[in-house]
Amino acid sequence: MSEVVIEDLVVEYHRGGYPIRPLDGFSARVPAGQLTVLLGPSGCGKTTLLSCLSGIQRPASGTIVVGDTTVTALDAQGLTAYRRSTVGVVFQAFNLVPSLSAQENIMVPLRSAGTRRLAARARATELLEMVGLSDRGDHRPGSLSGGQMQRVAIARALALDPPLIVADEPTANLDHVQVEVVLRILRSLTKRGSTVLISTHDQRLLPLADQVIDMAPHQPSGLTPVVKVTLAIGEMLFGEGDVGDRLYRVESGQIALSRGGAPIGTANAGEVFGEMAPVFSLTRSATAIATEATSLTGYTAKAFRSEFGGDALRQLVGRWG
Amino acid sequence: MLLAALRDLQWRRRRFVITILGTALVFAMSLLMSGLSNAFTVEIKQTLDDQRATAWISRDNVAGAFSPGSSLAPDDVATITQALTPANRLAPLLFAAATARMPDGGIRNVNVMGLNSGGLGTFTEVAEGATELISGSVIVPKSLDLNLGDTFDISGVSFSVSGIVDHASLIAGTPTVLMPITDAQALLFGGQPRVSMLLAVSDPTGSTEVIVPAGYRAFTRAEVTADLIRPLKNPIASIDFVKILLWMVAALIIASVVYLTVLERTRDIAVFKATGSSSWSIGVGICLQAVILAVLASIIGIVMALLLAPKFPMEVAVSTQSMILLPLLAIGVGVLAGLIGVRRTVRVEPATAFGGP
Repeated sequence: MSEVVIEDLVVEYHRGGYPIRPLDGFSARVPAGQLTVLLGPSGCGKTTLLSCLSGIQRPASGTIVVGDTTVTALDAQGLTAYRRSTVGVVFQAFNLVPSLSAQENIMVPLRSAGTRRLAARARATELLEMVGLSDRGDHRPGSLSGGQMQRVAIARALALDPPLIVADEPTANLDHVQVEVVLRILRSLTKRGSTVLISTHDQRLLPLADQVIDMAPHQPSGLTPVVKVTLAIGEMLFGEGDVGDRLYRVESGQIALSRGGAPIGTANAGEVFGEMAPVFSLTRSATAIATEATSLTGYTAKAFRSEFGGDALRQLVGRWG
Repeated sequence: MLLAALRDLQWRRRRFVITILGTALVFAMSLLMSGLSNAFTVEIKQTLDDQRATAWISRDNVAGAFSPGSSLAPDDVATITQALTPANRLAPLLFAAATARMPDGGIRNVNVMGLNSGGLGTFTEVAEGATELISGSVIVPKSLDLNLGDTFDISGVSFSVSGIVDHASLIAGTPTVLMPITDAQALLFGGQPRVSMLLAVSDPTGSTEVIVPAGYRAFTRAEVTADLIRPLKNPIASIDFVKILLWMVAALIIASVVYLTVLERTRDIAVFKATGSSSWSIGVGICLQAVILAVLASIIGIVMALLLAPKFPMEVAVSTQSMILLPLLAIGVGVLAGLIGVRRTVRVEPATAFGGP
């Protein structure tokens, strides 16, 4: 049984010349032997988190401890061993090797771990039986349904009996009948003592969970609908990656918008900016700094809609650049 | 990962079959090139075997007994004959290049060998006709496409075919015709009784070497071989150069297909890594694929070369040694070609396995 403790995790990478932080100071605790759902929209860092948990991606800082292993302290060889023995991954796209039969796909991690061919075959047969596919072992992925492929993928993740199973959007490519079977199997894994972590943006999975970690950037509740803000020259209104709770209208002065240090535009008196984050619960994709003494009015999305109407908000969202 | 590599070969078999056939053809060409350059040596060996001599005697100031300028006057022959014993079985040989006008009007280059009938240097058996050298007649190899009794001109003089042998050629497949030495002297030396060299064997009761008087030299078989191969030095070097290019083409064919396959398998490789396989074990699988392709291509290449060799316009002697060597070299080609795919494999990020289809 492995408890998962994540502390102050920061993942940063550079794309298009500017840094992106899908996870910025993320902390969580996943109890051993329980099923935890990571809930959040696309882009909120769920897959990145799973990637770090499964020893595939290295965070910029922070620690991940799985059972007795500090994953973030492992070297490349240690990570390979960790991926092999401690964590089983179920991918959104199934990721079965098309040239291998269902049984051989399950044998891949076993053979990589040095299990003898006959023993690996026996273990694969046992796992196929567990996921209800004992009669499909000789079939290649191309002749299996989506649900069957995902069940084979789950069996592959379980091949070396890892204490931690992570599943990235395991139901995203399945119809509802197949979803049901896959969910039942995932739920049953905790009975074997595995700690299961599932990422999803589908709220229907919540009843399945012992614990839900909501990764959506949330706007603080009880926000004052409309606020007046005054900035001195050079003062920052918000930075990239911040939680975006308001959109702003410039009353006087000027705001410079930049992304990754590169200017992307300015907002002058009478212009509105910063609408995407509060409307879609996203983090800020740009930094806003006053280039002169500036006064602004900040609105929550709801307040803006009631003040200027739904059309005005839709037009703002629909503008380009 | 070996299982995955083998299954992938089955999975993409059409592509790999085409690659194997293409590479096999290149290997076959390389073998034919080897056979071609080998044939230059083989024809010399065969000629010297047929001559049954152990020494080729000429003056000591010439590059070799078969080199242009190698010539002995009757006095020279007398001096050498006095110094040697009958056991040395001295036999005069006149060797020169000539042109022949064939019955169909075509011109062919030939080597003329003038000999005394029944002596060293003459054939002991022929495929058709007689072994005796008869004045006005010649013994020719099959490569001249002549029949017994056919007449053709050598340097303007008409000869009829009295014997046909399977092989007789020198200097890159140029056919050798045998005639009585007096005919050859009349044809090429204006009737002067000069000879190019004397053939001899070592005295079975004496020294293994043939000792000749001062001013003369008994060339050994190795020296004669070097003398005859010398004019072909540049063609052989060119053939070797083409062979290296063909090896490179074979390696590049396999490398490009393996690399393309690795590109297509990026996600598979990412999944292998994400499920705990090391880059090393995945790389071994990729290399194994390339080696299997190369070895299969080499085996098919050998078969192709053996089928194509008789169709080749020149004599091609594909040696057993080169046929054994080819699959071994193919392993090297496969490993080199596979390394290009392995390099790509190492770079695949396991994180690629995440995300949608």
